[in-house]
Amino acid sequence: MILKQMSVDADSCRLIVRPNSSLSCHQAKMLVGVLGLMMATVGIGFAAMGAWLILPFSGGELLLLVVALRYSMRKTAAREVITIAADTIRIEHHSGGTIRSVEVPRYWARIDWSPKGGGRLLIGSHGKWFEIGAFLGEEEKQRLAKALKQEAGVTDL
Amino acid sequence: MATVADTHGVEHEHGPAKGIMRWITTTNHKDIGTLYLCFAMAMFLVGGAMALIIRAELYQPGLQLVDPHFFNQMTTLHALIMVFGAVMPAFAGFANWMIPPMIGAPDMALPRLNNWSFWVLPFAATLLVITLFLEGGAVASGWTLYPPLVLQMGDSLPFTIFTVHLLGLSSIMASINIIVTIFNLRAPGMTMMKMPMFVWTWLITAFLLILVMPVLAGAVTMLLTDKFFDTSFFNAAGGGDPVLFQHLFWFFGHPEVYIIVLPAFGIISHVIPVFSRKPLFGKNSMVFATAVIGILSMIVWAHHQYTVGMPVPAELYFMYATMLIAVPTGVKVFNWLATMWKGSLTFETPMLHAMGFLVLFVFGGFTGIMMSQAPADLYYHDNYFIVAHFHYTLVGGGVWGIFAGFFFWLPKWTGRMYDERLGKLHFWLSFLGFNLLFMPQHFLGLAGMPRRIPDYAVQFTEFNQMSTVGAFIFGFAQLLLIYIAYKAIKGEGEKATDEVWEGAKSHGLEWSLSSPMPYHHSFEGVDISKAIKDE
Repeated sequence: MILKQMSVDADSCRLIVRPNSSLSCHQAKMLVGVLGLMMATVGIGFAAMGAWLILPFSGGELLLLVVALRYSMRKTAAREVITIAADTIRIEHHSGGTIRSVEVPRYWARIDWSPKGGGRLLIGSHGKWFEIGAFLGEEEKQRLAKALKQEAGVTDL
Repeated sequence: MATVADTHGVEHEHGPAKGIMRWITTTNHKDIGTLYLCFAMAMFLVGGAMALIIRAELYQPGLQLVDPHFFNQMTTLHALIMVFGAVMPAFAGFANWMIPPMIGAPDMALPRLNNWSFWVLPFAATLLVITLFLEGGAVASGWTLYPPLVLQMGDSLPFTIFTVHLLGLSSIMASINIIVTIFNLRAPGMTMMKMPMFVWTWLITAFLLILVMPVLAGAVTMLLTDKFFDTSFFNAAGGGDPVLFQHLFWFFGHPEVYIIVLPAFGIISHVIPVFSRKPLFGKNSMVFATAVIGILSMIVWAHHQYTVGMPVPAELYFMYATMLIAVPTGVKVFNWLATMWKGSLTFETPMLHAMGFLVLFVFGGFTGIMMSQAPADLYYHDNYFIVAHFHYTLVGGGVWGIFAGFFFWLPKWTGRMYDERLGKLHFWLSFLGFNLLFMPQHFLGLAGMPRRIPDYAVQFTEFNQMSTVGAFIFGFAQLLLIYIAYKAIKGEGEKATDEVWEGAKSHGLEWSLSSPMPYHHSFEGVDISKAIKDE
């Protein structure tokens, strides 16, 4: 997903790139709730018949599901902010509470597609290249490349 | 929030790593899918060899090759290995290969967990097989592990229980990964009702797995504590109840049948439309039928225990509930037939296997309805009729689904067409061998031959000999399958087109990809949102 934001004085532009996430927080809670209810029904039912050792396994499994969902949703909450200013293009990669950032001189910047296949979109200059939009599909990478050309005047290598 | 300057340039281009480390450390869903499929094939050979030992012993009455205790170890390990080591991992392999491209996801949601869930398997399977060499041999109680019999086993019991835990853990991790992937990584526009049938059937399978696996884990742990910690969960002398174990086991065991068969339903729902050149008939009703089968599968477990002694109202409930499963299953069979109706049918190997699936699974389903009748089951119980029945459903359903899916998607995975002539030969050898193997067992059962015995009365000889000949034909036909796969992987076949099968592109996203699929990024050059069609 690519969002475009212009600053008020229109001297900079931001492209925000996010991976696809088809599950909302509310839906995730619903999923855990429904599965938890079903597992509790089974576990408590058998515990009432004396087979209480099922409960720890059910609980452990539900915990693993919660951890897995949280991990996946945090991963898909990552985003790349590409700020196109007068002289620079700044790329910030936000992930898991940390931001990694690089700057590329705007008028030297070039974009390229990885030569060895895999459809990786690269931006860089002076022999230093950085991958952008790694979590996008091919079609969206094409759109991102086009947006960079339009907004920053970046050219193909 | 920490901010760090990234001073690294772009990392080096990397395709697959080289050598053995590629397979040990891989987090790529396609690699892990391949690992699952190779592991499943190896386990088919191990479990199949055990089946051939069983059938060789039963070729004629009397004891020829193995002693009764070893025979019982073979029946037990054959079942455990085939269910947990072969069929379930094979479907996990298909899920790994096909679910991400089918829903437009770049990979599975939890790649490292994916790696772990596979690599638990070889250790668990090895542990299970080496119990054969322990004092007292492997567990010989049958795969149902019923107490008190199983508690009399030797050193192998704790290892077997540990193995069941590991195999269950692998299934749980795979299921959670599949659930998270399907819910969180669907491409924009890929709504739930637009998901392909294979994805739907795996989603419901994953739900079933995470609901029933804790019950099996708890049950076998209670066996362990009864054996080593003097608890009495299943010990009547201490106030426990051995029948409780049977309830727990079958609460897991019956859904397990559908855990094996539902993904096969999904595969068949892809194969038949492609070779009929028509869209799947009644897609939404297929989804609902699958969900209903999943729900019903969890409330019919005690039909495995009619002879144990249950109140009549309970027997009536389980009988009617079991019969009810025929309704959604009938919906699915009707829809497959309606998909073929007036279609432009061709019978390449995947379609032949889909037809084989339909014939064998429906046949197994009919004998299932016979056994769902509580009064009649008193006769069928524990004789060869049930052995024939569950092999028609699990092999005819599950394994034939694997065959169909394997030939259907192999060109997409390898980029090469398999040898069609050998593929058809494999089908006919397997189909004829299978029917020669299991059809006579219906008559043996009806004539009163009990299951799980190494010796039998002389009047059962001819049918047993037919069955054994069929077993060897079916077993050795699978070597042909390995050869076909080897040829395709080696690149000997004709180059496969991206579409592979005529008109396949209109049947799913995966056919829009190149053949073989790109190693890293599946959707090069494809606009997913445009490719998703309303069915």
